[in-house]
Amino acid sequence: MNSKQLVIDALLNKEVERIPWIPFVGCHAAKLIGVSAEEYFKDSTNIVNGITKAYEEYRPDGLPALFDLQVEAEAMGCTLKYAEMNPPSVVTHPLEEGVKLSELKVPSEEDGRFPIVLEATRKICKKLGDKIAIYGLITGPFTMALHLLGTDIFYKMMDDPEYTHELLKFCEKVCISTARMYIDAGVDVIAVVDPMTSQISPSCFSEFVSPYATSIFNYIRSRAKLSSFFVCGNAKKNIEEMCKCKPNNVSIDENIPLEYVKKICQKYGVSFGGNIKLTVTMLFGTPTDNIKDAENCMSIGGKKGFILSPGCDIPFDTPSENIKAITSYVHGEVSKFLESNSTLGDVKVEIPDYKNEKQVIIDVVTLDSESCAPCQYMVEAVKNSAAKFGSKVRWAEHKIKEKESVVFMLKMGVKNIPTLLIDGKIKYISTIPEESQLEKDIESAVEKKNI
Amino acid sequence: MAQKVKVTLISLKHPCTACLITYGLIKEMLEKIQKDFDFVEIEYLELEDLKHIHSIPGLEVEKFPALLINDEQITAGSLPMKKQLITIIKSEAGIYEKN
Repeated sequence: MNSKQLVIDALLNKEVERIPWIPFVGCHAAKLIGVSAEEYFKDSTNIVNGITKAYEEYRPDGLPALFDLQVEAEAMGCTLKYAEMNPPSVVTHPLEEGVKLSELKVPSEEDGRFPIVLEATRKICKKLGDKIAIYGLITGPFTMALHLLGTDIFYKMMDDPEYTHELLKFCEKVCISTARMYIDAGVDVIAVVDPMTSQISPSCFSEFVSPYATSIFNYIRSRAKLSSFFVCGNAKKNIEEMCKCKPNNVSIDENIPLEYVKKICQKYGVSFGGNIKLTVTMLFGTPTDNIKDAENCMSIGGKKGFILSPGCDIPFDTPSENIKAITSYVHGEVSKFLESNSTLGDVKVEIPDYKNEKQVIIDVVTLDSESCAPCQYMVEAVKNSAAKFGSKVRWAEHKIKEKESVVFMLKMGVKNIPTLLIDGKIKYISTIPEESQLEKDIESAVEKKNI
Repeated sequence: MAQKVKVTLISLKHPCTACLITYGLIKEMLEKIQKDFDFVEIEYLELEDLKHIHSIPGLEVEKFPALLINDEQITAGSLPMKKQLITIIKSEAGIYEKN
């Protein structure tokens, strides 16, 4: 199955053979091709080159054509401040400065940076669209309303709900128009990115966001395209309201427990995605931290209706090695990745003579069972099962944070973690065995050795 | 006379889009407040690495943007209400409303 189909099936809440991986590359692509964020966001060739480079480096199953939530705002008169290493930010709000709502115009293909963005999207879809799923990201209605009016919207929701509804109705029109432009340019998925909804209560969400978001998702469905609803920040309280808007998928960041999102989304038949930690793990962590985070997310998410991704757009300066580490885990190539990224030449590890040992030897290759949940479950299963066989069995954990364990992993042909070996033979990869099954496996190994 | 109130807004050097939008909105809010209350001093700090978190007095949570008033953390990763900020700032300045 190719990458694009994996994403489509996951979005449709189907069981997939491998969890799809979508790194939300935005301004980070500028770093990949050696230009500033401003040069990147203002030039279609840079956008195409950046996304192509991200495709080559990170082997994703899907990518956003562009991650910039300021495109619509700029086209409607908001002033942007561009930066060297960050996405642009909105610094003026037309409705706060005296412009009337009736004077605002829904942007067309000719306004603001849309000609650049759409040209880049068309080229990206042509170049990569048969291989991976291309996402068109649009600013969600509430975040767009904040761009246009500023923080006064929080008071308007209470003092002038009628005006707030008029504003959000206008934003809905802009969202549908932008979705149409991206769909016409060839994208597979429309992501409605509304991070600022994390700042409002479920009742405010239900009153001021749901009617408009539902209409946007209905439009996307009417065009036979798939949709995702992105939120950032602590939006746990609003996940159920988001699902009720009927997107195909909900994508969340690290502030919301993935277990919770899975439970709510499954109730509504909505697929879900997230939630690798952007700052602690991706920006400041080590490759091993990234493997661990991906592993934890994937063990919770499972293979039905889950897409592995960061919580928001990847920061500019995120080390490429961290993103590649996640890729290696997704593709089952952790050992290959660690081999190419470690200096292991002088590390000597003696492999036991499994055949002639007077005990059954169980090896568990992990990240670290003290901090990685699937590793912990595998180690606990081994510990409990082995105890029943007394001195006939001995076991060891090999934490790949240590170079010796990486060498052991390579010598034993272990490709991913956690992996369980019995007498040097790989028995379980990333699957935690039932203790009763593991006991049978050990018993059979004990009998084989006649001990 | 009102006492000086120090407001510190801290962001990461490389934030994600959502943090950047929140940061911009808080910054605007603070600038508006400062126009009405000249005893407010605003400091903008950019953290290059989480290792430096302990160098900022009062910063406790690794969520950004973070807002501190007189070295006490008020918000982390969320947008405060302007009225809430004004109440805290007035209280710190020793200004109390008459009932």
